[in-house]
Amino acid sequence: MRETEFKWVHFRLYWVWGLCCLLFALILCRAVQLQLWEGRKLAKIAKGEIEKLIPRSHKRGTIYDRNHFELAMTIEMESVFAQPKEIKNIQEVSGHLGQLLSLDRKRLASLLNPEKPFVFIKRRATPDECEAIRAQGVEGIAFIKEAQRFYPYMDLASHVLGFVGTDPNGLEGLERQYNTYLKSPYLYEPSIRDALGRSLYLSGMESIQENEGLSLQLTLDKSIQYFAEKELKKGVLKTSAKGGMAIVLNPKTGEILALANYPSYNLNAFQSAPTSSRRNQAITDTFEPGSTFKTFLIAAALEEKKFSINDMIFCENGAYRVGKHVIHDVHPHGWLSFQDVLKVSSNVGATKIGKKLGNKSFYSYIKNFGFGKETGLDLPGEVGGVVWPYHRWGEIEFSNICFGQGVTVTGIQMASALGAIANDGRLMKPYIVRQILDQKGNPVKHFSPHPVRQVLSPGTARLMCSLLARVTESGGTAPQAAIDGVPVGGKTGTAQKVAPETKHYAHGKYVSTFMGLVPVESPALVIVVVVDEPKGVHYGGVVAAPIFKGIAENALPIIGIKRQAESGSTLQAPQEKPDMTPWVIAQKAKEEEINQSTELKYKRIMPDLRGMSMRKVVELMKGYEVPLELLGSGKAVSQQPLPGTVLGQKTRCQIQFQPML
Amino acid sequence: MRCLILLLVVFVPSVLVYIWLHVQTVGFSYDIAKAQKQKRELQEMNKKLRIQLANLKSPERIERIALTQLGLKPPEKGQIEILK
Repeated sequence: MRETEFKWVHFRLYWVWGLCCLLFALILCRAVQLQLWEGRKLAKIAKGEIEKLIPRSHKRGTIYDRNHFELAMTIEMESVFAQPKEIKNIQEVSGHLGQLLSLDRKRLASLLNPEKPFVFIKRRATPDECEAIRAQGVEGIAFIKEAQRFYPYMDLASHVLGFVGTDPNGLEGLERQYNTYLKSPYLYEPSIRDALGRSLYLSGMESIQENEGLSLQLTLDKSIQYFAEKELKKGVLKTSAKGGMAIVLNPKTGEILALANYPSYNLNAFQSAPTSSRRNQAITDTFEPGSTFKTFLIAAALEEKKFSINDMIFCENGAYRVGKHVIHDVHPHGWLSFQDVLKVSSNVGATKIGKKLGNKSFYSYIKNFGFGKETGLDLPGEVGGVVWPYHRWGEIEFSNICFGQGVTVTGIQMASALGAIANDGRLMKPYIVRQILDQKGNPVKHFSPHPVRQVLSPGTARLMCSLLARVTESGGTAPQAAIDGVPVGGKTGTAQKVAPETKHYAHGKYVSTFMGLVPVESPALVIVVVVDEPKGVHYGGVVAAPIFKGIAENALPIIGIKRQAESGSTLQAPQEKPDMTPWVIAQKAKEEEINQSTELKYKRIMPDLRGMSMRKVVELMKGYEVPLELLGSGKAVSQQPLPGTVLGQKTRCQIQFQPML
Repeated sequence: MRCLILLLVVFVPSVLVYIWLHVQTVGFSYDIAKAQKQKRELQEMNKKLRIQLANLKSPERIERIALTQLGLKPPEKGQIEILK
């Protein structure tokens, strides 16, 4: 009995052992099968579960001015979206959201259609709004990051910068012209998430890089741009004109320092601006240049040696018959010297000069100055204007062209053509983008000044500058453009507008122009100002010249050109006001101290500058004529060399300033 | 038996060390991901602050404050010194 029982136990043990072995073998087989045959497929599925590819939003590059101030930037903003399928109580949710996002409740309820898997509630909501929704924890509502273009200076250089649409594609201006550079490629970023949705970083994953497009550094100077816009606006409003434009150009390089249009618009809310005010008139609109065109006629006549500047021309007392037509001058003149024809802007004189120069020759100069063709400025929508070939000019057409009628030009063409005169006769291609930079600020592409052609000999060009300077003297047409302390040259223009309906000159509608260069002896700035349809007085010398003056006065110190002070009016502290605060009294005491120390100047001994303002330091150190290095801002706290040190001719003085707290 | 003990002494701690390393790796992975998120948030914040700074530096605003609040006026021509 016992033996049979023992055998039975043995049998059962073997049986269990066998079963275990079988099961183990099965597991092994399955493991081998999974690992060897289906391994790759399964690994892929597993990876798909934990690894998610997250689309990164397009991030456009930044646009900087020439001094690296940001003019356009992209930031990430959160958009609120809903998954209506997951919302149980739509009425309640829409009520909540309506309150938090100040949206219409009924519209929201209809938007949250339970059939739809995804719907945007509000794109680019403010951080406060997102925070409020998060705090409330509204069900079925989530956030997605979207890029938003932002222009910190609002309407500054709006026509140059342009804007981008909701899908970040440039629609206007530089945003459009350089879209391919500014726009970043569409990228998916790998991200590993655990079962709870927390992200984690595993080795072997590519490091997450900022997906940002390339940046642009412009030739524009934000300060000059600001003054150009401010002065233009002031001038346009003063004359109740329809609009206007101002261009500031560096004639030596062709760099555009400012390009302003009025009316302007806020780039952050471009949708609400009328299309007409978004147009960059300086390159897209043509107009008759009027008398400014005489400049190029006179230059051509001088270059061709048809006249010398003192040749006398009879100006027919203001009325000159050409075929069936009579040409008039605003003020009748008898005999005028060649240079005075430009100074007083005589139409009769210009006609006679043109006749002697010949239409073929004048036409070739017009073309060489760049009229009738786009300048190639890197902005979209540039037009070339109209200059008919000389063999299509009749006698009267030719006469008209001599004083700027019957041809159309753009503002940028005028700036670039005058730039050729200012730049020793060499025409430069205008440009507005200096460099394209990568994410780290290293230049990827550099744009250098590009000479187009030599239009005039340097001698003629310099002579032209001195002739243009006479226009702003008393007796010229633009004394209002003259700037105290720096010689200015330029030419006025007033042209009647052509009515598009009748194709004839519209009564009382004018374009007033002034184009100028400063300083005359070595022009550093060329400024063109055009005012469209001023009311009342419409002469370029009255309407546009003061705008030129306002821009130039502000721009000269920015580019480092000092106006010469007249003798006697040297740098002086502003007049003290009778109401003397303790601060003013302290200042006065300091001034007396300075007066005492001026005696030290002649001994060339370094004075004690500590405690002085930067203004006082500059004022005091002016007489020593030593190189100054001013660090920081506020009041002087330390100096090198120390007070009492004898100064050599080129002793470098370093003064450290600190703000007073 | 001795073999078994030796195996246990060598094998078990190795396994434990391996598991510990793995847990540490995962822990650091979370930390790195968190730090990266923070970096991006800070970069974004930096950008927003730069916009704000640019806004505050706007020439129009500076001029307005100088003229109205501080009672300053544009310099006369002799009052401008250009520093090289």
